[in-house]
Formats: sequence, C-alpha cells, structure tokens
Amino acid sequence: MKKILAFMLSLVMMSMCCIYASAESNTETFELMSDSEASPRYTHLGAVSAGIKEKALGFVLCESTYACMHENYTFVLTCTLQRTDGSAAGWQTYKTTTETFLELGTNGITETWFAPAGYAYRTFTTIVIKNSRTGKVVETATCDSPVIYK
Amino acid sequence: MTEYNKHILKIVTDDILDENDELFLKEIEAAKADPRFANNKERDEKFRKALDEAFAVKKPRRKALVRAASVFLALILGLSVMTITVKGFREKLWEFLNNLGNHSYSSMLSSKNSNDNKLLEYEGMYIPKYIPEGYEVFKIVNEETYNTVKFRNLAGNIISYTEHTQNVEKKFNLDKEAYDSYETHTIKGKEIIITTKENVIYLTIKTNDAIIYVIFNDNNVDFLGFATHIEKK
Repeated sequence: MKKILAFMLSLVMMSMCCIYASAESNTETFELMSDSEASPRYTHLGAVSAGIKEKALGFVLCESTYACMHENYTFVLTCTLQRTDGSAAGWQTYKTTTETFLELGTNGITETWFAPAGYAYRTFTTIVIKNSRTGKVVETATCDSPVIYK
Repeated sequence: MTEYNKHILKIVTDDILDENDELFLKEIEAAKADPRFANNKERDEKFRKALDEAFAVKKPRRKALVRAASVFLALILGLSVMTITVKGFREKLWEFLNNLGNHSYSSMLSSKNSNDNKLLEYEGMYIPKYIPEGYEVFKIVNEETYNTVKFRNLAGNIISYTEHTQNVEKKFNLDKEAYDSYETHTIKGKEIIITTKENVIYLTIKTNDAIIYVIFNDNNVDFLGFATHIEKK
C-alpha cells in the first residue's frame, strides 16, 4: 500500500516538474522588434510604421502603414525612400509614392525600388489626416525606419 | 359439478394420495439403508460452501477501493499544488474553464462559417480563430512585411487585424499616451496590451516573430476572447 502511494506521488511530482518546465518555456519575454520611438502622442492615430528590407539585385522594399479608426477623415499616406552618403546634406528623398485612403483600420503602402550601392537608406512614412468635408488637416505624423547600408 | 360428483372425485384423489404416500415412505426407508445417503459432514460442508459462493452477494474489494482512493487523492493533491505554484498551469486552467463556459466561441474557424473560406486567402502566420458574431471578412491584404484582414458587421463596425512580421527592419510607433485606459495581460505566454481611446479599443500582441495589432470600434465585442484565440496557422 505504502509502495503504491509512494509511486503515485512520485509520478505526480514528475508530471508537475514537466508541466512547470513547459509552462515556463511558454512565458517568454518579448522584446520589441525595432527601436520604437519614445512615446509618440497621437490624437487620432493608433500606430504608424516604417519598414525597409534589402532585396536581391540591388532592390529594397519599403513599407509604410498607419492605423486609425476614426470616421469622416481622409488619410494621405506617403512612403519615401530616403538616402544619405554621409555628407552634411543629410537625408535626401530618393523615391516617393503617395496614396489616399478612406477606409478605417490599418492601411499601408509597400513599394520596391532599385537602390544603388554607396548610400545608407531608410523609409520615411508621413501620414496626413484631413477632415473629409472641409479638407482641413487635423493631424500629421511621421516615422522613420531603421537604416540599412549598401 | 354436482355434489355427488364432487364427493366421488374426493374419494378417488384421496386413494391416489394414500398410494403415493406409501410409495414415498418406502423410498425414504430404502434411502436410509443406502450407504450413499448416509450422513457425511465433510461432503455437507463442501456443498454448503459451494452454495454460499454461488449465491453470495459480491462485496467490493477493499484493496481496490483503497488504491483508487489513493490515486484520486494524489491527483487532487498534485493539481492543487500546481494550481497554486505554477503560473502557466493556472493560466491554462483558467483558459480551459473559460472555454467550457463560453458558447459564443461556436463561430470559431472549425465551424461551418462563411468566414472560413475567405480567411483561407489570408497568408499571415497567425490567424484569429474566434470571430465575433455578425462579423464578416470584407478585406484581406497580404504583403511581404504585413498582413491585414478586416471584418465588418451590419452596423458598420469594423475589426482591423494586422500582423507586422519580423522579416523586415521596422519601426512600429504605438500611441503610448493619452489613453482612456491601459492594461496588460499575458495569455498563452504572449503579452497583450489593451488600450482604449475615444471608444476605440486597441490590442497589441507581442509574439516571438510578430506584432499583432487589432483595432475595434465596437465596445460590445469580446476583444479579450478575440485576443485569446489568435493562433499560429
């Protein structure tokens, strides 16, 4: 009888250890994927992003997104590929594209451009929110991506 | 039957019984003389035991009962200890109990739902498996660096679900100030930030390989249930 009890208790203890281990491995600490700006304060926007990715044959993929759930506005999103050669001129616009959205939620632009070597590149996102009726700008926000070197 | 007939019948049956009695008594006397029917204690005992075994009410075995009780006790003890000490186990248990009680999750992908087919087009790594009642997919965007699926109900309310993947150098700026409410939860090992601002609910779910960003403009939606049922495809 005692043997059975001891066996059962050891089984339970072993299973506890296993479950504890698996539970611990599930609770990983998340780190933000990127260096988010310190506490941006938006009025209507929920989030703005800017992404850049190096592609084959000298191309780069640029991404600009924004998220907003407020009605009666027009959203003008601009995705710009900026570059610098390290001179005092700083960041210069190399390629740019703009799109207008009326739809709520997250919207975005992705564009692939050829980016010659010898520069540092980044994506610069600009979102302008206008009142659909009056055309008046109610909010403007920007976001610049991490930099890639070519 | 007349009285006379009854009387005759009684005389005949009495005669037959008398004859049988005599035969029976003779048989008893013969049996007494037969050594096979002589008293035998050992044989009687065996016969009684066989009878007892055949007709005895089976009593539950004590040993088996004690074993079952000890196993049950050990299980209860183990579960209680785990519930108290292990956070992950507590969360899983709570999740399990929530799922038992919440029937609104019947509109999960496993069911025959019109959203099922539409969501097959969605190419993200994670997918919402609980879609609030009345909501239908109306737009899917699959890009290399983000995926979006939008749901809408008849009242025009929208749920915007976006997955920003980690395969790109990206800066993701969240509005971190001026919220009406801000709370964090950990569900299934994922950190979930829930914020509300001007009747809009924002969920930011951080996983190993993505940031999932969900926006609701409907306060009646079970957004925590929605967040809980976002699973890897």
